[in-house]
This record gives sequence, C-alpha cells and structure tokens, in this order.
Amino acid sequence: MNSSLKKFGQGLLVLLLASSFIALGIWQLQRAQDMQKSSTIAVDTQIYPLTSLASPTGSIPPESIGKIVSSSGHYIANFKAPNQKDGKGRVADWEVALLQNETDTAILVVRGLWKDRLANPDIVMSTSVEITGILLPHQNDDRAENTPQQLSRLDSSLLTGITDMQLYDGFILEQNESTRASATVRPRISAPVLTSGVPGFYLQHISYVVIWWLMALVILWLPFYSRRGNRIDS
Amino acid sequence: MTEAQTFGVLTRFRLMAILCGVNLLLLIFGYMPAKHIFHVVDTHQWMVFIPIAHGYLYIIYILTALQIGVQKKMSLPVILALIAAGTLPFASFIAERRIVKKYS
Repeated sequence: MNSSLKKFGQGLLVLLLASSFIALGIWQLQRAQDMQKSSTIAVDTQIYPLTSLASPTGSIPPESIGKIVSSSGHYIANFKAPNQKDGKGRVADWEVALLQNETDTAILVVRGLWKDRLANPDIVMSTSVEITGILLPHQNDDRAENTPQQLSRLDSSLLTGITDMQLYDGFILEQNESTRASATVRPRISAPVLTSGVPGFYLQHISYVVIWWLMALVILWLPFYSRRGNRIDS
Repeated sequence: MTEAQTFGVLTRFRLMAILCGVNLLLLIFGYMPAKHIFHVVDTHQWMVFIPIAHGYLYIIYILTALQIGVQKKMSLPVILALIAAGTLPFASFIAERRIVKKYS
C-alpha cells in the first residue's frame, strides 16, 4: 500500500514537473513569435490625431504603433536621450521634449539630434506648436544613466515623479513641427527598427524552447532510468 | 563498453563543459555588464551571439552529461547536478575536473 502510494506520488511529481517544463517551452515559443511579429508592420501614411489612436491611461495599442499622428501644445521640458540608435543604425544623443497637449496630458516627443537643439531658438515654452510624427512604444532598455536633465530610455514612466499630468505611454518621433509663425527646419531622425519589447533574440528564445522541452523529456525518462549492472559511480 | 567509447564520451563531455563554462562566463561577466551597465551592445552588435550561443551550447552540454551519466551508471542526483552545473558560473569546470579525475 505504502509502495503504491509512493509510486503514485512520484508519478504525480514527474507529471507536474514535465508539464511545467512544457509550459515554459510554450511560453518561450510565444515570446519568439512575438519578436517575429513586431518586425512586420504595415505601411500607413494617413495622419491620425493622437487622441484617436492612444489614451494617456493605458499602453499604446499594438495596432497604433508605427502610425503617423498629429498633436499640438507646448513644450514644457527638454531632455537629452543619450546613445539612441536610429533606423540607419547611427547612434547619437537625441533631443526629447515633453509636449503638453491642450488638455492636462503630455507625451514625449523626439525633436531631433541633441547637437541641433539650438537651431530653433524661437521655440520657447510659451510657443504653441503643432507636430506630426511616428507613434512608437516606450523603450525597455536603459541606454545611459537617468538624471533630471537626461533620460536613460524613452519611457514616460521615468517622469511620473516630476509632473502631475497624465502621461502617454510611448513617444512620438517627430517628422514635422510648426509654430503659428513658421515651420521648423531641422534634420529629423529616421524611425528606429521596432522591437517587440521582449528582451533577447529570436534564436535565443528558440534555444530555450528546446532546453525546456528537453528537460521535460529527461524528467519523463527519469522513472525508467535504473543503474543496472555493476555500479561504478556512488 | 570499450575503452575507446569511454574516451569518446568523456572527451565530448569535457569539451562541452569547458565551452559551456567559458560561454557562461562571457555571458555573465561580459555581455550582462555591456548591456545593463555600459550600454554598448547596440554599438557592438557581435555581442548578441553570446546569449544565443549559450542556449545552443547548453543543449549539447545536457546531452553529453546525460550520455556520460547513463554510461557510468551515475545516480539520479549526480546526473541532475551535472546538468545544473551548466547554468552556474565555474560549476561546469568543477564538474569537468571531478569527472576526469574519476573516470580517466
């Protein structure tokens, strides 16, 4: 009776462990697929109002990512975002501003390269601006240290301590900017390659799928393993 | 089991234990600081091969550990410890030394 109970317990444990490893493999497979999906975004040249594609209360819907949006308001803060990589693979420091919309909401806007920030001295905090740009999700990885003047990554959650406004998740990569007087002329940044937000790489996740499922197989094989013959190891 | 076969199994395990161990050290003391402290992985793209290689080397390491474990009729905890050694820094080197000392 005791022996049957012990075997039942062992069998249950083996099944539990094996199913956990299989589930972990499926989870890694899902992450690998998420990474692949993110690289296929349809081209859409229509300009949408920011409020129609995103709201400040939640994250940016996946279908809104990469769309061209328009917004207007005042720049209320300026930051340096070091070591940012554009679509052409060039790494540089970017100028990022916090744009307060007409309401009590704000969104991060990448205006251009940090070295070009003094090209348009006429835009001050009181100047009303209208912008269009590509809506992108927040970054997950830090590129530098976070300080009051510098953003470690393009992520509005870094600013929750310095403003009471509702902040949009993600940021706008500016393509055009105009004031009541004129359009701003400065070199713009090409859109960086989008990643899924899942850390790691596709092939890395696939290798983890193989590892977890291999471990599941090992666990299922263990009950049948016996050290027949002369035992060498102790 | 002939002596040549034993030698082959042992050599495969040793090779994978060393490769896996070196790759794990590169991952923990090279790639991780480069990515999370110095933020230079974007500018040194070749480094992405370190975590990818680790996944695949570890798969082969598990297979070689299982092969030597079964062939030498090791106990289950020893086999599981051998497999786990591939995930801890320096542990695969220690495992390799102990196995070589015992079976060569």
